[in-house]
Amino acid sequence: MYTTWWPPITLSHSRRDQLLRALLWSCASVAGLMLVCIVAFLILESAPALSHPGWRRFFTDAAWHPTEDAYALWPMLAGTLLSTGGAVLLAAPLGIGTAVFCQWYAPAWLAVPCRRLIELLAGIPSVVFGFWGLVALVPLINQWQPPGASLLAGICILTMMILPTTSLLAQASLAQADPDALRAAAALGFGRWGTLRRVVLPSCAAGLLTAGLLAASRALGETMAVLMVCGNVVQLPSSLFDPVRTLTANMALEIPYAAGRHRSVLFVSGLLLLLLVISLVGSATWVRRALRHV
Amino acid sequence: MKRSPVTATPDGDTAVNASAPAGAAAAPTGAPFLALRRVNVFYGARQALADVSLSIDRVGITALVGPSGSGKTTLLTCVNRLTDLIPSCRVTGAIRCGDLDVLSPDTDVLRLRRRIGMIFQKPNPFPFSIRRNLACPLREHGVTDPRLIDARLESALRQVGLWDEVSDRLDTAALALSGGQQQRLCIARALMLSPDVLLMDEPCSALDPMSSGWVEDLITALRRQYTIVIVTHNLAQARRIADHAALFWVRDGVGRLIEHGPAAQLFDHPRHELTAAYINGVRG
Amino acid sequence: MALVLLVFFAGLLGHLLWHGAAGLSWELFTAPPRHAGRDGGIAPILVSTGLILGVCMVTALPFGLGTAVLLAEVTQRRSWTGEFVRRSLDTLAGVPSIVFGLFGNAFFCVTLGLGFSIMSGGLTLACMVLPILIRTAEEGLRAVPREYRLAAAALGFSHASTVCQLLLPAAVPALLAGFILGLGRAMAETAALIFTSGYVDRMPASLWDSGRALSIHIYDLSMHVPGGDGRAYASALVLIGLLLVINAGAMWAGRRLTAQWILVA
Repeated sequence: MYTTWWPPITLSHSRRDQLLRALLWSCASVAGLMLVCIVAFLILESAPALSHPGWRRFFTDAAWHPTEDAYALWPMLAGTLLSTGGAVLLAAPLGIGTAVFCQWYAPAWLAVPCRRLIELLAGIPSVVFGFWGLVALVPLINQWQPPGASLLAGICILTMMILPTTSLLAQASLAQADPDALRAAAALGFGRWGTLRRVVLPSCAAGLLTAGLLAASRALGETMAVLMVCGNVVQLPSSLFDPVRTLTANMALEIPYAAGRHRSVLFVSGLLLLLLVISLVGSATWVRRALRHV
Repeated sequence: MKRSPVTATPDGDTAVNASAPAGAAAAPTGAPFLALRRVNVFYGARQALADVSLSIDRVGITALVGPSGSGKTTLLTCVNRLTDLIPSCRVTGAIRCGDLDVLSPDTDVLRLRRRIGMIFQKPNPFPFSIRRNLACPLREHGVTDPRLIDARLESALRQVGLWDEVSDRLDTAALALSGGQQQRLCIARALMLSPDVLLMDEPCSALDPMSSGWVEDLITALRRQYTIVIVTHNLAQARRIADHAALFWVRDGVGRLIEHGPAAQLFDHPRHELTAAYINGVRG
Repeated sequence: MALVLLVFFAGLLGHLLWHGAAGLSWELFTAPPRHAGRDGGIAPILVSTGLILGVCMVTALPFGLGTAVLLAEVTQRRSWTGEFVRRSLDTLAGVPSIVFGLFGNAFFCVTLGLGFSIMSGGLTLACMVLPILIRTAEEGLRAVPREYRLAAAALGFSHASTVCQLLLPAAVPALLAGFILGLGRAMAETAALIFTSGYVDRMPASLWDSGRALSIHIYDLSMHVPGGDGRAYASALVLIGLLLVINAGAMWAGRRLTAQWILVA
């Protein structure tokens, strides 16, 4: 008599199966530990800067002259947050608007090509967006309010870049609206706009919020486009038309020649960026779980 | 031994080039070929099958009948240990198949399954060509000689009566065949390995009446060569083809074996009142 | 409103096409850059891009497939190891590319001593596309009907052959889609390459040589080379064209494969 409690896959004595499992586990441990590795390396590299000058100095120093022991990261952090915030404020309504249009108002012959075009735009490389911003958008703003390369240009380019993602995510969440609720709304005599406003949008709130958060995380990490259009002057902008430098642009500009403590400070800004993005993605997951059945 | 070609097994009962019943000598005459003793099956904490003891002879068809959820399919999957694939499934008791101790942790499952063919309710040919469908089990078990494979393939297709229908398009997709043809192909695929036992889980229920009739005739034709255990909901079919029959019933959510014996006796002179009620269509 | 946006984006593409079309010539694809890229072609840059992508995909594919098979076929959906790997990959997918660049610079260039090279760049991109490959491959494997697994198990197939001979071939369309997605993302990437694969626009002599990717070429021409705009337009068109060709090819191949090869081969 036996009592069996088999492991989830066939308990096979075959050599090849044992080999396969060993192989798969080694692959998966590489993939699974990648994130840990990245975080560990960033911490390792930024440790010298965190002990000296210490994180407080990043916010209290007056200027960014890393070769002369002045490490003010705060203007860059402000640049990142301002450009991201502006882009999300613009892209969220536009993205949700296009999603609603494609999902609800557009006739089929228009909705499908619309979707294709948005998918296409989502795949355009950021360097191409940046290049276009540099040769088309910046001169345009320059005619209006010099110098052109400015926070505004950054916000515009970022908006265009995260718009497709926002729109696709929002469409996916709108598509999941409960068909029974839609029928019930129709039975109550709601029009299309009424249904949308009172039934669909509230029930998709979690999905739309998630779309916004993920778009924000993408804008936060974007490097090339903002690097090319923002002017890259380290300062706290006093208006939309002032040039700014973001954390990402700062890294891209200075890592190639940075050494010693300077390099370490740049890794600190990478770590900071990573933590911001992880917390955004984490809160997106949390929102999706928490609001699923509200 | 584990990776040895099918032809080289010392006990000889799975020799591929023997199309005649080869395994009859594997069990001492008189002793049951397939013996289940006090088998219990649990899915997690829920018991699916309680205390089943059943003996099945070397040749002939044993039909398992009973209402849905009475554990008939579960019992089949215990015999070739497909229960391994279900994470929380636990089996207790003892099952012997010929000289193999099925539930022992030392038993090589792959070797066990080579000797026990299984046909599923829905035909499930692989998304390959007909030829590759039939050849892959042999290759898997170490037969690489293409002439041997081709010979074996032809004889298996002839056994299921599919040779004349498909011999000119062996390299086309198996999924393009009709439902009945697919099911016969699946039977041929199981026969490629010259198993001793064929487990069939309602092999006709997903087919149209015409194909169902063909498959039924085929099963009857295979009865002299293989130990066939068939689960069926179709009592008329069980009565037509079975030599032995066993009735399962579900009580308190747990499947139990109520009665088993020669088919004629079970259908015409049931000893148990549930059997009588079920057979006469009163219950179930 | 949506239409206004579409017009806006059509303007972007039209602008590039208008200014870039003149620069497209046979010489562009065959000649090396001259005068820091203002004249000449982009041949060495295309070669470097190809090599970087090659290193990236050759490295990422085995790891990606292995992990996907493990997640879909070996671990249970709710097991903590599977859940850990999946969660960490999801987070990895959101990590900004510049952070991958930092990691690649610190690990591949400095710690492993590969320096600014095609190897470092490719390996950094491999880390970046790994989550995409794994996610699509896992979903593709899960979509393979359960009946195939049961049939294979009932025929005494070992787990290894079930995976290699049945599940992976049956999931080829999904695997291909994931591969293309990863390839496209890697090709579009710039920030992760600036300080891993380097700027050198010579024809690379080996994988341990520095090489300039197409996207970096566009960046460099437009930012650091006065008068480089003409070639930058042309390069941008080439990059978009390549991405479009890859995507179209994937769509075509996916349809063809599902229709014929998969069912018969």
